[in-house]
Amino acid sequence: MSLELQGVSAGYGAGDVLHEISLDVRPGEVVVILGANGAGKTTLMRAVSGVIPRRGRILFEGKDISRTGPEQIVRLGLAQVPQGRGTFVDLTVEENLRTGALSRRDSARVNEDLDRWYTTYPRLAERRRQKAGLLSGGEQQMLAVSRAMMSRPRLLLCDEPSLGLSPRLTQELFASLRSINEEWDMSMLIVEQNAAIALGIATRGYLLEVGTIARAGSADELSDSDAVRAAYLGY
Amino acid sequence: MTSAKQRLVIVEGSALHLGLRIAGALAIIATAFALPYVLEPFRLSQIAGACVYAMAVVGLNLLAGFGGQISLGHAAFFGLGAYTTGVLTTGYGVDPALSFLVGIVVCFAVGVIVAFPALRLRGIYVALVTLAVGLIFPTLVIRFADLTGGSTGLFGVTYQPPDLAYFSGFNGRVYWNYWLAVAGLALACLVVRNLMNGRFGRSVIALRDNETAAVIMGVNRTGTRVVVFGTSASIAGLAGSLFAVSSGLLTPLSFSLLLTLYFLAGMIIGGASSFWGPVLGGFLIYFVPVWSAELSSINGSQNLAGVVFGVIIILITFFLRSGLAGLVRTLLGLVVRVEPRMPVAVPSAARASLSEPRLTERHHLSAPADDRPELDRSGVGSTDAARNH
Amino acid sequence: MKTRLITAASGVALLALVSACASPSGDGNGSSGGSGGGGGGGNAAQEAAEELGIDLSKCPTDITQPLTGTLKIGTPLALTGPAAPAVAPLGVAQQAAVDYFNETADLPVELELIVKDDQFAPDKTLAVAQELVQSDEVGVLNGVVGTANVAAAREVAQQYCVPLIAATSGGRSANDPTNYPFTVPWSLPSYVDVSAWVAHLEEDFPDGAKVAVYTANTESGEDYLEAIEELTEGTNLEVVSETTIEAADSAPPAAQVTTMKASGANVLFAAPSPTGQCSSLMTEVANQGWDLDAFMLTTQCTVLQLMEPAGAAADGVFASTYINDPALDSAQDDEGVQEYVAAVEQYQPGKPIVGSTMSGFSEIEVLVRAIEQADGSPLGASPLGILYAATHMTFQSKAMLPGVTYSLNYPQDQVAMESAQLSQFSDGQWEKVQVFDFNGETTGKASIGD
Repeated sequence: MSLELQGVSAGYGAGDVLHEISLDVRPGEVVVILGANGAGKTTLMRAVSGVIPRRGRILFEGKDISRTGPEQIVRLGLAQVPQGRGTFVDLTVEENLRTGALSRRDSARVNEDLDRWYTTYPRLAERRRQKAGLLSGGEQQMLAVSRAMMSRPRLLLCDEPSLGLSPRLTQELFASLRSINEEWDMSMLIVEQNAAIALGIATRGYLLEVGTIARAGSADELSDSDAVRAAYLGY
Repeated sequence: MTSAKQRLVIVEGSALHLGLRIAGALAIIATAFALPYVLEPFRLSQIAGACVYAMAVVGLNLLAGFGGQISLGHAAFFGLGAYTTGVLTTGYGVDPALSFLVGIVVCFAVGVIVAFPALRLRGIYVALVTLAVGLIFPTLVIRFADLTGGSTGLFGVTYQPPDLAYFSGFNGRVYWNYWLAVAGLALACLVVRNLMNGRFGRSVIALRDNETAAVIMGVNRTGTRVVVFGTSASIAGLAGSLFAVSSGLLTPLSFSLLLTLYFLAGMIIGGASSFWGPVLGGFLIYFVPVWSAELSSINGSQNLAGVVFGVIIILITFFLRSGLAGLVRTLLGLVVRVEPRMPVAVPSAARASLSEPRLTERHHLSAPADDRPELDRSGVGSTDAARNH
Repeated sequence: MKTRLITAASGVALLALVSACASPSGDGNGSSGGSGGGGGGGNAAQEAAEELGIDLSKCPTDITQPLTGTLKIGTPLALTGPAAPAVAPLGVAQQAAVDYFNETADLPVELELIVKDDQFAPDKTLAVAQELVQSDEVGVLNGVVGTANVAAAREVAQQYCVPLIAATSGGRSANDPTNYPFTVPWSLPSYVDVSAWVAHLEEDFPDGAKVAVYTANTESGEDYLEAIEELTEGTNLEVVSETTIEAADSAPPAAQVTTMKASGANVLFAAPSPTGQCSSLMTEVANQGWDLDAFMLTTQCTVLQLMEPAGAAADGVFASTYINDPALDSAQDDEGVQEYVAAVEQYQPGKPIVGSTMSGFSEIEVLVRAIEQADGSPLGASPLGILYAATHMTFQSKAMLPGVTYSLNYPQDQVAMESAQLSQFSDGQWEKVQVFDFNGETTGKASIGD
């Protein structure tokens, strides 16, 4: 099992936003979490990456990380594309990418990886010495994905990657995520409002409603579900 | 924008680029050596005073400019260094050089102690914690009058120049203080530069730009902030030590909140989070009051320095966000362009990528705030409909 | 990487060069050999210098040559900043005095005053004094105000062998002729001020009194506290309560007055900070109905503008005064005051004529008298001659109260102002009680003597 949550609750002091969540991601799988605004999707991401305190068990490759700090979790091989991309606007594109490799000490291989991502996204290569804040929204999203990949993770968390992107860019982004999944055999946990496109690349999915798992199933099952359709697919 | 063709294009790392940088460095060194022969000794003392202020601004810039945490207590660190040297040399006969080191260590430690409560706090609260330090310091100096000379002040702080022909003349002490200040400023600039160029520097800026994302990327928030706070404080402390030996006397009033505000003004005017902007800013906060004082007379004086700073800061806030350093960069950019080296393997055949639809028209000069992603209005359509249920 | 190496290498090269290089010449001051010693006074000059503790060979210029032409006088003064309203008018009075004495006195030189802003910050006083000496080439420094500021300026006076005449500080530490022979302080020392209080009380209270002490937490306040503790020892004045106030505190000192009143003291010694704290103390004492037998107030509060806000609460307060005040009824017929008023009206028309600025007038007057005396002496009106005269001179300034004199005779008498008029406040006026003269008694107490 790549990631396993067992009865995880978390919140921001005033009260829990997540209530006893249990879910799992198997190696090589793309798992999508659907949910409306305020359902607790981002809280779930933060709980996994260790930014906020949480209760219950979170196992990453069998190791309990529910007491582990965020910078240690990155070193274990769990990377995140944060919501809103988390661009470091005053760092150059290349410096942003190198920040992704902060946990690594193999500088030669880091440079190889840089070239690999420049090859994947030539726009980033062209703008490598520019401040990342000058990039367009789409370019910043590429940057966020490749930055997360620079840590050579074995599980990639994506928090609302389509936010602020045009439909066409969203399509391309998910195509790109799928190819990363296939090429690197990368396990992924994606939180997304855009159910249609997310289910398109997902193996399985969970439906999050007011901090609890309302439904779970394969991508096809969820796509066919009336509830999901009505709420998230709009038909 | 002038087109690139009209400008001198220099490829980064080329012989020309390197040559120009060496020439620049040599010009600065030559100037430093020439000044003692050219200037009257009091001007040289003023330059030394300006270097000391510039050091403190360079240190503050590490914390507030690069680190994004406003400190209202830097005059206290400056004063702590000054009094460490003052008390140790006059009261206990400690060698001034050793007292500098002690000052650096003491300021680092105090900086770290202040940093810990400030770690969990953001923005205005960091300012408040440091403000408390800044306000307490002069009071403490008065309270421990037996040690510090209290409000009367501490006199006779000196650093005898080494036994060299260069420093043996009538103005030997002026030259010695000048070189101490120049060396101190150079050291401060090198420390900040080396710290900020590389992995650690990226972490500092990442934390400032987007703390959550930085932590998720594996930035050690506590470690980074503690080192930044401590280093910034110890640079200010060393500046204070040099201030002590060059001015010769210390009074608590010299280290009031006003001095911190001057440091902050210097940083903003010079250009926050630039490497040499704060040096420029430090010189300005020293020399603007000197010039305005030279314009004052017993018949009708105004505090011109305050007016000048006020106007400059307003102008900079509205027109020159990156300060004088930014202005110079922009002006240079009209004439010279430094072309970055391209990555070794420039991909010619790009794979399926997001970049192909040219997005350049939508570049935002003001960086979009990370937590409020720009919404692509052109893309309002089926996705948005789906998103809104 | 390369640039970093280069920068570091240049840094090292720079330091290496510093140690290797020869000394810059520095506008003729480079040699420490000294050109002094051979001037006008000859042996007399050598003797005078020795008596003052001056090594003429260490002076960058020959200070034994009589001055001719124009004598530039430099004054670092707060023209801007928080202290400016209190201090800057001194410069106006100095300027009026310079113009007045150029016209009326028989001087071998024409006086020219250069006042530069030091914002009352000691480090700036130092910088301004250096600039005045090096760039403006002033021959004399005059009238620096404040103990710390004097401490800064005297370093420059010492190094460049420029006399600093009438350094205005009552603090003991500012008066150190052994180490700083070029600096001659001028002001009523707190030690003399307190001496007058104690002398008066010993006469008035033969059976003793209980004393409460209230001082500002400033250099001056600390100086007073020290003097009070020393001077009351061995007398039957018993200090029963000591309170302090921060210099910047502008609130009524209710807590301090309550404490002191509760101690059972019947006499109050008060040295608050003169900016704003004089009247608030008097008002608070009256408001709390503290019925004192004697209220002794620092001379720094005696300017009428500082007394006025207290109204009736100021009645009966004692203080030592030494500078006359044009606003006093008793000063209306005083010749010196009339001359001062006429000079300010003529040369600085429209400028306020107040007691506090009279000391600025008097600071220049000291210098003028010293030049006159030097001119008639074997030393001549050389910088050394002027310094020697200023330290060996007794005279009654036009700005001082009758009976109060400036009197110095190094090394036996190192304190210029050792006489004071104890006055009592009544109906908005200071009324003379008694003149105390401690001439020759306070050297080593109001100064750092041997």
